[in-house]
Amino acid sequence: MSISGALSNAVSGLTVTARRLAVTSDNIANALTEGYAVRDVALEARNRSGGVRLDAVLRAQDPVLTAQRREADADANAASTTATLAAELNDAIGAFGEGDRLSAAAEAFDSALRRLADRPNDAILQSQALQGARDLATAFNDASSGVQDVRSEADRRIASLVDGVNADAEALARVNRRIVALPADDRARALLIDEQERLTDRINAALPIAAEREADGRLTLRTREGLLLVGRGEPQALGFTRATAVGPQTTLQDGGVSGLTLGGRDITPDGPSAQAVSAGAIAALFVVRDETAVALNADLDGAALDLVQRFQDPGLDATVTAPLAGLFSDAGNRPTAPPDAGLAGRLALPAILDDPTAGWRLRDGLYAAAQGPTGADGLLRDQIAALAARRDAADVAAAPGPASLAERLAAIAESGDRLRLAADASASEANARRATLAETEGEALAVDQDAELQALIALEQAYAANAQVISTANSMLQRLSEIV
Amino acid sequence: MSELVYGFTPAPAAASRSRLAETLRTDLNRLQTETVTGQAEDPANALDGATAAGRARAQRLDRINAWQEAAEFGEMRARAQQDTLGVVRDTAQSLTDSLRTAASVATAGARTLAIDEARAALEGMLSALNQSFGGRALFAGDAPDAAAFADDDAVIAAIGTAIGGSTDPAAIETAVAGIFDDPVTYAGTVYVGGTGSAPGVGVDTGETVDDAVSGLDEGIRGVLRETATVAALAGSQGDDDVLARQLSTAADRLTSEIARLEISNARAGQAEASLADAQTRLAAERTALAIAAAEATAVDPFAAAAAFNATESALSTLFAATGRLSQLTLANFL
Repeated sequence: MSISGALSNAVSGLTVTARRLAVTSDNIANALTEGYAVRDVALEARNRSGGVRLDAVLRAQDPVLTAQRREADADANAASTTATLAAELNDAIGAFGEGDRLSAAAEAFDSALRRLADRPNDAILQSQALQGARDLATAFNDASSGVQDVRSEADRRIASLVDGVNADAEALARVNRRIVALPADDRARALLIDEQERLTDRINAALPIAAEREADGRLTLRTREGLLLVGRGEPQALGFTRATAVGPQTTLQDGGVSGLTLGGRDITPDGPSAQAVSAGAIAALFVVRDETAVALNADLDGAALDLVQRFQDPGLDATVTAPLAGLFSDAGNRPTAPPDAGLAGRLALPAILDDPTAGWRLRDGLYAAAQGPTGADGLLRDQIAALAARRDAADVAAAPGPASLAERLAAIAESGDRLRLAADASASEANARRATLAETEGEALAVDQDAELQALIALEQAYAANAQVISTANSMLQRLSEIV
Repeated sequence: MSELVYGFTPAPAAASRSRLAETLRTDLNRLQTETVTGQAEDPANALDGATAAGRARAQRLDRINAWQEAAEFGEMRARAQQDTLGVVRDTAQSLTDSLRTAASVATAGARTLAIDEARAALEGMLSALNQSFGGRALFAGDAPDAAAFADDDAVIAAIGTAIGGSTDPAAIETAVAGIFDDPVTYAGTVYVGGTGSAPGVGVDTGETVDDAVSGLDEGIRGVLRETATVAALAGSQGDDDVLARQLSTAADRLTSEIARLEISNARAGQAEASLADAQTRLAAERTALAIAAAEATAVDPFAAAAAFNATESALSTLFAATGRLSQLTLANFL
């Protein structure tokens, strides 16, 4: 080997070392950057001229671990979303030990009736019993409204996630186009891969996907059910229309709330399509909006109907005959059988009780022409018995069999408690699994500062060695010059 | 989509320690609350979601409170009824003594005084029987808003109308009996309360203690009748011996009616005792339920305190380890 060859080799070593130093410093600088995977350089010996050359800057990857973590991401986001909304549903119908309004209102009405039965002539107690009935109706209204608020919130979040997925899919398509245009050893390629992976992670959290990297660097995304989201051309757009208002009668079946499409194909979770989305945050929101909350509202409606029927029995109050409404009515009217969805939200006292001094009607009959004996407690005690009577309510899934009103409301509230606890447990488990996998993947992909510092020492030594070669070659050349 | 979590964790070792610390801090806060209160922070979780029974307990407790309140009020009302009936009985007893004295002495003045005392006694009895308790007349049945009896002037006026100016003691007695013994006339003239039963006092599901005494009671009616009869004799004329015998007979009959009045009094006493028993039973049940409710979601304070100390220790150890590990870096060494 000639001296100039040695010089050339040493210069190539210095050049490569400088590039490695740049990569290492980049790694250290990005040690805490979200989504930044550690880079390494691939070196290759120069065959003919000798020395070394940099083959490529490689971004760390572990496709198997990443796929597992993405699955865990999707599950954790679905579980957390469900847990958040389950807690709101639980609050809406009354969480145990924390302002259990519906059960408390039923109990307050029952107690007010009992007090009035003991002193039926007491105008204040009459007024309190009437207010108790009104509060119970309002508690049903509020619970129903709370459930609809949760459905509305789920609908809003779906719209937000769909917008996010569409924006990220557009961004990913742009990155795909840029990465295809870059040469394989371009340092910017790793940055673009970081961006691809970040966008893919974010899309996957909302809508679980399978990612496949093409030879030219593009990333192709398909839903887990196999539908293309991002490919060679423009990305397929998710279609969803946010509802202007969500009420008990706005359902997916009647088009009151929107389904989900991908490139025009129906992928509504739990829908009839074979490609229906089955996991992820969006699917979880659909389940809450169209199933969990709807079922809870149906239970509230069933309990409301049960309450209405207890008080519109002519055997209880002979003045309440069809078509007159009983003490509890469907927005002032005797409900049709079966009533439209949302009875709990429309539950109200009949107009005849709008007069605040009409409390005597609880004692003497709702539509009595005049007051009866002021000390009569018969009807009041019958009303108390009507509340306590154990009757069936087939529409209430939480308690369809014989139950008093209080037992039925307690069963519905218990279903809310169980829903929250189950969702919390699932979320806790899914988040722990996600964190573990994210940390494990982090150990494989994230920057290890100790390793980078070790690399720095090695680089320093390599740099010194190459410099020494140059110095030696230089001395040799000088010596030759002196001889010549 | 800011609420979503995704991606691998940079600096995983530190993140893992941070996650552990967060978990320990959450546990520590929960244990601190549970140690202080002795109750689970999330009671629904402590019951594994089976909260319907807990709600039933809470509802039962609410009802017990309402029943206790009603029973307490009912007991006071029954006591007030007994007090009133005691006043009526004492007045009648005093009148009985006066009638016997008047019948036994030879002066017409004593008899006149006894008759005047009967008039005053009638006024006193009616006044007492018209008393209210808690806004409800004590003896007015199912019409508690108004007085149970007409006032004494109205009663005497009605008797006067029935007598029709007769001065014959026997006729007067018959006329008074006609008013008091005919339920319809009595209910329209003397007793003006409700003819239905007064509302009872609910003390448990389907269990009511009846308010069993009203102005329609035989004992009350009998005492009033005999008192009114003597008072009506004020306008009688005739043989003094006949009047004396009549007063003596009235005293005997009044004594007999006082005995019947005691039956009414006993019924009120029975109601009071039932209400007192109910209160005792309800208080016991309330205590038992409150204990059961507290125990259902209770946390063993010693176990919680021990767990608190263990968690605190674990957190301290984790902090120490974090501190030591943060020094153990190549950067520090270099």
